[in-house]
Amino acid sequence: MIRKRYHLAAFAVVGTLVIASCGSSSTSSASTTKPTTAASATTASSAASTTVKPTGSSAVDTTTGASVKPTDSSAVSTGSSTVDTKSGSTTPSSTGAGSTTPSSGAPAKAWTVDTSKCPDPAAAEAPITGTLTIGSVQPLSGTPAVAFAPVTDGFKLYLDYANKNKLLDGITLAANIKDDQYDATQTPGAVSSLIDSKVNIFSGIIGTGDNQAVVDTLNQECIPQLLNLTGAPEWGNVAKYPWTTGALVPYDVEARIYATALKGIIGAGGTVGLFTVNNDFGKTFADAFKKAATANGLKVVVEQTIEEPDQAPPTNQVGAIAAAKPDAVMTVPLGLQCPIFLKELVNAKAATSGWDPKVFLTNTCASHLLITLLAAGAGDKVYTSTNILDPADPANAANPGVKAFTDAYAAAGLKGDVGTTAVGWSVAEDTVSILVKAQKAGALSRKSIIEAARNSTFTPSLGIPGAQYKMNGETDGFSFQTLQVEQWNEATKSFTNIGTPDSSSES
Amino acid sequence: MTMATPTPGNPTESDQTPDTVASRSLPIASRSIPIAIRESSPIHWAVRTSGVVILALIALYVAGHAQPSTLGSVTEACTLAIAAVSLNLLLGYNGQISIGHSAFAGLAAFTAGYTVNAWKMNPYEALLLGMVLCFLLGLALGLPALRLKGPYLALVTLAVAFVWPTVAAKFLDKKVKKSSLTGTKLKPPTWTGLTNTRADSALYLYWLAIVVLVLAYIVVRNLRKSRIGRSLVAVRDNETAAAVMGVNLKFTKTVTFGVSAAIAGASGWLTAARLTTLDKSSFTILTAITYLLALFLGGAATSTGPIVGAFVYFFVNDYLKNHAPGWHWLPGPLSKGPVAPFLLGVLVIAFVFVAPFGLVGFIKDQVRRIFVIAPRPLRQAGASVDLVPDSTEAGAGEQTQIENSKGSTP
Repeated sequence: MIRKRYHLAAFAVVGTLVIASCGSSSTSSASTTKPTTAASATTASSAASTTVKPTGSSAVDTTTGASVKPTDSSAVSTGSSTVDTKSGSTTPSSTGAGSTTPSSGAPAKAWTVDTSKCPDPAAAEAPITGTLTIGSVQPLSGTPAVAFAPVTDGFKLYLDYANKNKLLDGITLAANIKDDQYDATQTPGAVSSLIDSKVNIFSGIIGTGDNQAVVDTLNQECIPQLLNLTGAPEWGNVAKYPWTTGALVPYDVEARIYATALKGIIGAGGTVGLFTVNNDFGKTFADAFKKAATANGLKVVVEQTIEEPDQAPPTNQVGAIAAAKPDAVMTVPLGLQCPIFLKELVNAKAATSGWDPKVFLTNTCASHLLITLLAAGAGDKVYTSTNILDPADPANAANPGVKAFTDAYAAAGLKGDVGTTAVGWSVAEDTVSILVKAQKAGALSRKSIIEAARNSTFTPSLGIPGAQYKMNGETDGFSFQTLQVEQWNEATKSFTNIGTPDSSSES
Repeated sequence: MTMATPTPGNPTESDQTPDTVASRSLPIASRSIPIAIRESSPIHWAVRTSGVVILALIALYVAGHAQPSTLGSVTEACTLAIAAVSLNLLLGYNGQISIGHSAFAGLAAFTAGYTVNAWKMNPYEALLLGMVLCFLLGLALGLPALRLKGPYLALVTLAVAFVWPTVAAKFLDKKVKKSSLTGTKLKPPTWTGLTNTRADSALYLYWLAIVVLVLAYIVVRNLRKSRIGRSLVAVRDNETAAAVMGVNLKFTKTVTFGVSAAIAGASGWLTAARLTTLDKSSFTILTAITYLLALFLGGAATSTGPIVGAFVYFFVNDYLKNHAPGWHWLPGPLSKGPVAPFLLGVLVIAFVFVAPFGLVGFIKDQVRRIFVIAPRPLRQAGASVDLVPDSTEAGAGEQTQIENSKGSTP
């Protein structure tokens, strides 16, 4: 009898595990578990994903499409003697592995990092030769992989492109990307394992919580953590995290740009409903948007949230928003929650006579997969933003940067969402641009790489007009701060620009 | 106390299974297979001691040669093992199922994270506070267990596991004003000679996790061997009979729940020491299922089963995540999707068929073909009574009769 009971319990546990595993599998059927190379990425997701909105990239000649060294407007320092040519601003000199202090000297010097407090200062300054391995941690399995796996494909695709075109003299680039299933508790183990396997730098780690889980470790170890795929404003805190940079436009900047656009559309005094995912990303965005809304004379009349893993239609939340009948809805869901919300909103509009709000959607949702394929038409006339060109838009097909990407994408036989794949391509391109600059300045080392990252200006090949990678030591700790508000047109299956790119946050 | 019912998943854990009874019939002097070793004899002690020494040497070797990430993995496996050990006390020995142990681990982790960061409390005091809170919550949760059994009790504990992330989110929202909580950032004490580097911190956490795991193991093992432990098993096997024999059902069941929750709290505390950030997703229903899985993989109601199960689960899962092949050879949509969870599920299903009493039960079955442990002679009225009969009288049925006729139950 007891044996039977134990058998039953054991089978119950196993059954639950299998169900959980199957659920994960079915929702991420378009994703790959672990693409190993860009070439093998043909097995990667065919449906695609959300856009972790890109950054832009460099390294492609804007006239020929051929690989070139990036055109920078700043000097790269490997020591305190290099002068920053950007804007003439004073840049600080660092005082330790984890902190910097502003310099008071008269001549503006490029920002430098102090490695004396690193556990192994010599290793931080040691020249990197032969193969440079870039580590990253991204969701390669589980539900979030549906949205994010193409980023991995694009990232590897560009590194192959860079190796083929020998963008770095005498250096072969390699990627070592581990899976954390978008679960911040798994990120430290993955990063620790990558450090032990001697990756030289990290780039493109996805997720606010995931990056927060390892930022202390990487700064303590003096390993560059470049271009985090998250817009958390804390990545601009150079004094606290000198070895860490972000890739996305900070969420507070994105929120301000939406609030400004909203004011132009619904007018001052208009009402807004706010729908956010209940995690660090959503909270940061919501706080920033509420401040920006107040500053623009808008009134947030209703706030609703959805839990991060919840994939059920948010009927109650949307119902509460509909009951308040706001003039506009600011929406910040995550991954598959984006089309689910849009469809639910269509139902609510149909049930609420006279209510047709303007809908703004975070640009992490602005992929073709989420906004049109899975939303089944519910994304029509939705506003969002971008700072890279849409490679799926025929109007951009002749652009050399877009052409270089789409050619490589087609040659590799990739099938994942082209826009999201472009994000991975762009982040890798930015990373390589930084490496090229560090190499041009002298020896390629962890120290020279982070200094190059913080003292550079270049134009990404996939960037919208006006979008630049621009960092200037502690003065400007954010790589990109320009966004173009756009509106999805379901009839033409393309975005229409609304106004001109907003660069007002650029320093 | 010899139980009438064999202990599931524990054929050799105590002197109560048919297999063990059969083993008594084997001649100790005989060198034929299987070889019998008398319990508590010098040889038996030598075997046990050498087992402990080998484990200690392995731990020392790993500490001296492994990279920090490997030490971190072992620490994580130990954390899972501690939770499985706590569940073993409740489910394996006392028969009360809990799918809510992740909530206890989460409570202790959040207690540690919050008190250390906001109140500047000593992390080790935070451990005690967390365990006390978990004990009290366990007691409270043990109350419904007095009236509920099986799937109904499972549902109650399942509800706790489901509620925990919401409670954690509300706590973070109201008290921390962020969606995550900083871990305890436990630093190695100066007396260890270790610094605050990544390598030294990993080494310190590694030893700390081993110490906590060993303590949890000793507590549960000694509890099981004590009068209270016999009460636990009696309640598990037959509540009515246990009550008739004088076992206080209410006390036994609620306190077991409390102690088990407190040990799970120690696991949560270690998680808070290991992770930089904790959020509402750090301890979910899947965490609780992982605890159960580790327990059943290793073998419920065995003292070492939960530990073996936790290590096997953790490292198999880790290996599959990093090395599982793709589905490229399959056609169409079948070529996509996560491979590792699927393979893990298949492995677990196969394992349940091959070794329904867990890995430890399976290994013991195999070892018993070569070695058997014969229990030490019972002392009755000052006289030593050897239960091991002449080899010619071997037979489980006969042996049971001998046992009964001698009134061997102490």
